[in-house]
Amino acid sequence: MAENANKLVGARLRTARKINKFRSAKAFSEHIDVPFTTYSQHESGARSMSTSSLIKYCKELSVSADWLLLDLGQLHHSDLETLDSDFRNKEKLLVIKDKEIMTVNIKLYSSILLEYMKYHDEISLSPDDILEFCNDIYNNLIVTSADDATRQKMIKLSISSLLVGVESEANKKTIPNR
Amino acid sequence: MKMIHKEALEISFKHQYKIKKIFSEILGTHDIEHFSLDLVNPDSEMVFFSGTPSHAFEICNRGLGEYDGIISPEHYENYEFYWWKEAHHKAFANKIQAIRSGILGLKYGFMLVRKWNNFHLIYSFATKSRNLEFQTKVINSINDLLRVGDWAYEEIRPLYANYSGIYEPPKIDVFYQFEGGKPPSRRTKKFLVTKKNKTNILYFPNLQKKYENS
Repeated sequence: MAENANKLVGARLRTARKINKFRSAKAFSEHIDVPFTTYSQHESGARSMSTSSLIKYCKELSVSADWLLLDLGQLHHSDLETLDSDFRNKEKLLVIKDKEIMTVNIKLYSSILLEYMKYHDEISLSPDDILEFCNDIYNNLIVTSADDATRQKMIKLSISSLLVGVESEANKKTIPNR
Repeated sequence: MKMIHKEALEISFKHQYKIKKIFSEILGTHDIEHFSLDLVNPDSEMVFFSGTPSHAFEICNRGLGEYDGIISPEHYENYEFYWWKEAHHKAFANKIQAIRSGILGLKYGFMLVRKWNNFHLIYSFATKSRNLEFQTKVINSINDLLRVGDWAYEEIRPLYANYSGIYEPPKIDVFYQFEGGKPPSRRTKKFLVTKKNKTNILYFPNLQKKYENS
């Protein structure tokens, strides 16, 4: 069980590293003056990290310990803006997910996530549900020949529907029974 | 003549969350992987509520909406059931099929049509599977599929009321089994002609008696 926890922590560490634009574990370990073998084992989950390492990683990557250790709280909006600005001019990105290689139009996906982040605090859904909905928007738009402006309009409409839908469900729950 | 509502291509995106929630109850049953409600008011104006918003969008965006036989009055006014492949426009069949099957992955599709209070309620189903038994399954489950379509329409009906023009969408309160041929024209128990923007309501008690007794 501890092994699994280390792997989950390691995966979040890897995500935070990439969002901070460190393309390789080696480059980051050199930046923070941590032996590469130590850092790579933390990232792979082969080894649990010390408190001092945890503090260092959180500080250097601008993430909270709650998020890194327990997946509590959120990555901040500015992280996604940083990601978007880094990849704005690139059409595709190789994303490694559960050992599968997916090719994603990062420009389109970033647009969806950025639109969602505007309402993030108002939408109370599980991360899985949010991701599924964003994937649906992506899958519907990626197959169309719509131009960027039209796609952006459809993204706004879809995310707005999410906000309206979630608010409506919340209101139904709070209406007292007669 | 086919008339598409001015917001038709946006509606499925505008209400994507609600549509997805409702249609998720349908997808996966009977190998169905696409479902949409194509609703036509008495003025022949059509609106789409689709679980695959890209479907109508891409066909219309490429200028093929006018030629898509599956939503042409020629078919939905005359057939209670038809396969998509039976309704393809002769000149553009390949292009439309390339979008449906090639881009969207929808291999087999069909329509079931209800006619209530001069509205045409078109239930559009499709699968991405190449299973040759799909067509047999559909025929054997046709009444189940009609129930599914009726249920989905009732869930969407309040939303559709915002796009149905001056007409109130009918509330389906009776299930009718599949009959084949032209969609039977049915009336709800209280068939009122109302003008939404005016207060006067025209009520035809004699007509209502006639339909109740028929």
